[in-house]
Amino acid sequence: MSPLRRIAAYLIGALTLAGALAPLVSNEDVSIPEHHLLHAVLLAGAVTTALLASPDTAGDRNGAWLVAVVGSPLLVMFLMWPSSYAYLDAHPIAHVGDHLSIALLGFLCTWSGQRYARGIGWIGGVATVSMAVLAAGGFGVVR
Amino acid sequence: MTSARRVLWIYLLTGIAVFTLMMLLGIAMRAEQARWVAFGPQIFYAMLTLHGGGMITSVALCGMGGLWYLMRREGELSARAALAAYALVVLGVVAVLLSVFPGGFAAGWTFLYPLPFVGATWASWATGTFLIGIMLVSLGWTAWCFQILAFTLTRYGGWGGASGWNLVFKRDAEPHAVPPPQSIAAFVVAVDGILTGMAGMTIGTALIAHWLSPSVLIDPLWAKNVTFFFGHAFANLTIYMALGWVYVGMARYTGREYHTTKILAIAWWATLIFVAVAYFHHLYMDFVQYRPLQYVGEIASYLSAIPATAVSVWGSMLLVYRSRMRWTLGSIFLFTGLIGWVVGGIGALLDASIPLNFDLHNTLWVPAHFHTYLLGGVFLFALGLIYMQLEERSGRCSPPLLRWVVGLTTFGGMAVFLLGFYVAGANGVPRRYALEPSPGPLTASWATVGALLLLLGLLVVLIEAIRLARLPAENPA
Repeated sequence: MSPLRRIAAYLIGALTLAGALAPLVSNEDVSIPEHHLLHAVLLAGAVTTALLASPDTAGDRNGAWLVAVVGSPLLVMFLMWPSSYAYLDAHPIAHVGDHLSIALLGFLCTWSGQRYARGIGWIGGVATVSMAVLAAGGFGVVR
Repeated sequence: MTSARRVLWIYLLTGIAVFTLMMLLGIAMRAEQARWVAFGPQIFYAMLTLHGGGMITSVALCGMGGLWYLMRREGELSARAALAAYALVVLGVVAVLLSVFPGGFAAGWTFLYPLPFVGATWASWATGTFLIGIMLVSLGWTAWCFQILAFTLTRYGGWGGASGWNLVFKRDAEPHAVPPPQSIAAFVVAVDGILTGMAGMTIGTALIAHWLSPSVLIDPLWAKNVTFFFGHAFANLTIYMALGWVYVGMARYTGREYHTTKILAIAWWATLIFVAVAYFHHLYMDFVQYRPLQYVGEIASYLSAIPATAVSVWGSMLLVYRSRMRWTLGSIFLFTGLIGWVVGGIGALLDASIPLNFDLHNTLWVPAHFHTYLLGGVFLFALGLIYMQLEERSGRCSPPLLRWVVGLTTFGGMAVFLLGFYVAGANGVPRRYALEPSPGPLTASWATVGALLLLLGLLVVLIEAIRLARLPAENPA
């Protein structure tokens, strides 16, 4: 891994972590679609970090990586359960835990994808971010 | 260690078994619409729900097993991962089965929000079990797609190699690094499958959230878009998976090679896009849908026919032309499947034309076209693959008289069965009705007779398959 790539991975990872900690300093009330989109931004940070940090190997196609690639996005969706938002808004520590879990799962999906076979992390990561963006269209929302 | 051929047969036989069960349900429903039997709307709609979901999943299982086997012949693939995906899909099928019988879930396999939750005549657990079942099918499908995509990326040197991009744009692409046609098909199916599987998980999670916590509301238009993005593509990809066997099978029966050309690669890229966006034609009647998307739906539906006909069907015709093709049951099923695919596709295009859709929407024309390409296309491709395996293994093929019997009963019965749908649809008979207005009961009577004839033909096909399977192996695996 080149030094530049390593620095970029640390930088984007740190920014993502800082974003996950946001509820500790700001308790601004946001709508459900905005909340989903903020999660998408967190995921994008985690996915980019994983892509930068993952080794440039071909991948070993171990089944455990496959479980993580498929299972992580599903868990992310359950963590974005809209009826839990009111509780999370009132409990910043739990909210930070929710954000960290979402970011960790986004990282896990992408990292595991790259370890499974090079290139899989890309589509797994993009799909995970897309799911969060897609959720903003109507999961917990009525026009 | 599980052999590749065993994995293939596990998928294929499960798919065919579920298909047969669903076919029996289908015949019972047509008999109800013909007013030959009367088990009531409650049971009819539960059967309709199971029939729809079960049929799509059964042909998907056949496609997954067949394409996995073809990829396995190209290189190393984990049988355990394939069986894990299979287990998830089968668990999903069992959950759906339980939700319908004894649960009574009857909101249709499309489970369009808010239908499963409003005015339900079934218990809440049945709704939840159905949704969990669909989610499991979606998970198994996504896991299979990731495995296949990982294989093609590793085997053919990344995205550029696996997609055919290097073949099209790089002059120095090495011939041995060019994927065969079935691998290009596998790549496209896997990419589209991952995107649609993720959409399936999104809508599945939203519906499960609403089931457990009714205060979580869902935008109905959004739900319909995401559901059809998943459902339409999943149904379409069953055909595209089966095309992998057509490429291999037609080449084998004609003694010619099906080459990967630049046109074939480009056609599959077009398919990748059109399969994903053609679903908008399911929302023509939704006046609140963003209008430009309706045009995207119509244009994509029409354009999706070009790569299919210009490459796969035309390419197969060229292989057959003056080839002295061996017309065994295997090759007959593969070739006839192409005809079913084209006829069903034309029916779909007519329905996707907005002026015609005003008249044909939600009539029996819709099941007419998808029964044509699923029963007369994908199912025949699956039978073709099974017979290709049996004929190769035994070194024998079926006698001419038997081929005629199968042709007359299977294809003749199928034609009469499908005609019942087309004529009723053209006359405006609505779909998804237990009791249909005239001429629905009359056309349902023809359809039931045709379906029974088809069933008789398939019984002959089964007996002949068992006979071939019991012959000593001339070419063991």
